[in-house]
Amino acid sequence: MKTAQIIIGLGFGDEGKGITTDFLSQQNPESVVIRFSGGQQAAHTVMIDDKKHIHSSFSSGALRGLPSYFTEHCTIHPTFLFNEREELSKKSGNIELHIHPLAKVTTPFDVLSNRKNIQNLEHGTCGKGVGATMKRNESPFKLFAIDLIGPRSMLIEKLKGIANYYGFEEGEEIQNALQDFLEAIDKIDWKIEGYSYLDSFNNLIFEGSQGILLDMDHGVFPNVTFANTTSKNAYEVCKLLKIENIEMFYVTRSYSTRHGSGWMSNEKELILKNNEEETCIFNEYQKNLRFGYLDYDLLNYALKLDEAYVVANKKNLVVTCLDQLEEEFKVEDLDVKFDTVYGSYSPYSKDFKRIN
Amino acid sequence: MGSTRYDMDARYDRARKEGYASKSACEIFTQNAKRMAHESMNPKNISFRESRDSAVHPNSVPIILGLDVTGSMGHIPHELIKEGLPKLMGGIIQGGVPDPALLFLGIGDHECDGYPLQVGQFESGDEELDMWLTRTYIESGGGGNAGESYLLAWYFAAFHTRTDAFEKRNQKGLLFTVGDEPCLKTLPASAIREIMGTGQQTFTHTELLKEAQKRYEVFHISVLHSDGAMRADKDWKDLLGQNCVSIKDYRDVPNVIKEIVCDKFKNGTSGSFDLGGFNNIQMF
Repeated sequence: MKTAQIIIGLGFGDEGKGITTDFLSQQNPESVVIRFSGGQQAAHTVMIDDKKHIHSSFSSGALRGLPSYFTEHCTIHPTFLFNEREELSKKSGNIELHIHPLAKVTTPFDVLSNRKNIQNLEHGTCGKGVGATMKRNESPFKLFAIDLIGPRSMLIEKLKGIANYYGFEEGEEIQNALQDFLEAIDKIDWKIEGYSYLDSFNNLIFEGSQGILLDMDHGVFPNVTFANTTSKNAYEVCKLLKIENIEMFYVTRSYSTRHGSGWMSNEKELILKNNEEETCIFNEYQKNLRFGYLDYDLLNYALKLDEAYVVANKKNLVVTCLDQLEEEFKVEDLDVKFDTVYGSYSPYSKDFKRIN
Repeated sequence: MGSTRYDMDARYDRARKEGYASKSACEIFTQNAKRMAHESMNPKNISFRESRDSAVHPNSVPIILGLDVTGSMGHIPHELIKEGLPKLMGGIIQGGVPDPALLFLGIGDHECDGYPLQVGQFESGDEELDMWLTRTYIESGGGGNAGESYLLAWYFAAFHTRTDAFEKRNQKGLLFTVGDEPCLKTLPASAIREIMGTGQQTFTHTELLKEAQKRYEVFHISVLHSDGAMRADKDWKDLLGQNCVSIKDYRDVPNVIKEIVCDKFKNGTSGSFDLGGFNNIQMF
C-alpha cells in the first residue's frame, strides 16, 4: 500500500521541517520528496555529517539523495533554482527535480516589484518575489512552468507583458534582467511532469513550507503568506493519486519563533544555547528572528485546524531544538493523542529520539 | 448623494461644537490614530461614484478635489476643515454656482503607501462633506521616490465616475489635485489591481490625463513651499500649462478653486460647448 508522509509546521515557519524531511528520507530512501506550497522562499536546512544544505528550490531530501517534485501550488525561480542546483551538485546531492506544468514561475520583475514596494516589507516579505508571483497569477499575466519549455518567442512575449504589468519600461535594466533569466532557463534540463510521475513511488514525503499560522486563510492578515500552509494541497494530491494511508508529522520547536513582522502571542527574549547553526539570521527584509515560550493553546489551534483539511491514519509529532532551552516540553498539554512523539536534540536528524 | 444644501449657519454651529478650530489634526482625523483608511473610502471594487441632479440641485456641477495626504501636505486637509471648506463651498454658491457637488479623494503614493487612494462621494451638503473630509486618513507617507500618485485621481475620475453634468448637458466637471511634488509617471496594472481590485493595463500619466480630460477640466494647484516644490512646479507647468495654478500660501486653496469654478460655471452656461446662441445652428 502506498504511503504519504505529510510534514507540517505548526507555527510561523522555522519549526524544523527540513530536519524532519531528512529524518524520513533516511528511513525511506526510495521516496520522492514533494513540495506542495510556497517556493524559493523556503530555507529548509539539512545537515549530514560535514555537509550542510539549505533547501529552497529543491526538496529537503536532495542532500540525502532523494529526487524532488514541486506541485502546481508552488512557485519556482529559474535563476535561484540554477544556483542551488550547482551548489547541490558540488555536495553530491540529488539534482533530479520534476515540476508540475502549472507551477508558477517567478520572473525578475516580480522580485524587483516585491522589493520596491515598501508596503510589502511591512507585511513581512522575504524579498524573493513569491507573493508578487502568486498575486500576478490572479491577473491575466500568468506564467507557468510549462511556458519554460514552450517556444522561446512566446515566452519572451509573455515576459514583456509581465514587465508592462508592473510598469517597467524597456531599458537596460530590464534587458539585463531578462537576459540572466533566459540564460538560467537555457542551462537547466527541465523535467515538467504532471502527477502521473509520482505513480512509480510507494512512499511519498510531502514537505510543507512555512507554518500553519502563516496560512493565507488562517494567519493574522496582512502578515500572512500567499499560500495554504496546512495539509490542504498535499491531501488533494493524495486524493488524486488515491493514496489512503496518510501519516502526519507535525513539527514545532520547543519554543515559538517568528521571522518578520506580525502578531505573536508571547514574544519574549529567550536564553538559548547550541544555536550556532540557526538558519534565520538577520536579513534586510525580515529583520531578526523573534522568540517566545511555546503557546500550547496555539499548537492545539493549529492541530485542530489541520483536521479540517486532512484525514490521517497516524499522527506524529516532532519537537525540535530540545537541546536549546531549559524548559520541559509538555506533551500532555496537547489535545491530540500522537502515535509517536520524536524529539530532536541537534541539527542532525540522526539524533532524533522517541520521547513518548 | 447630493440632495442636501450647504448650510453655512449649520456648518458654523457644528464647527464650534466639534471644536474644529482648536483641535489637533489627530483629534479631527480620527482614522490617523487607527493608522488605516476608513472602509467606506476604500476604492476596491467601486464601480462608480455618481454626481446626479436632484430637485434641490437641478444643475449639479461635479468637482473632484484630490488632496495630497502624504507627509508634507497633511496640513491642507486640516486647514480645510478649520476654515477652508465653508469658504470654498460658500464662495462657490455665493459666486453664482448654486449646485456644486464635491468629491474628496485622498491621494498618497502607490509605490510606498498602504492607502494611496481614498474616495468619498459627490456631496453638496455641509454635514456630508465634513464627514468625508474628517474620515480621510492622513497617512503621511510618501517616501523618497519621484513623486506622488496624483495620476490616481485622473484614473478614478476617468474610469470610475459618472455625472449628469456630462451625460445630460455635455458639460465637463472640474478636477483639482493639490500638492508639492511631481506626478509619478507610471501607474502599473499591478498597482491598479492592488488598489481597485481589478485592472489589467499599465498607464502613463499622460495617458490618464488625456482620459480624465474627456470629462473633466483638469487643474493642479502647486504649493510652492520648498525648493523641491519649485522644481515640481516646472514639471506641472509643462504638463498642464495655465491649468497649473501655483500658490505660495496653502490657505489660498479654497479661493483658487472658488475662482476657477465660478469663472467656468457662472450662469450655468459656460463649460458646455458654446453654441453661440442659435446663430450656429442651421435652421431650414
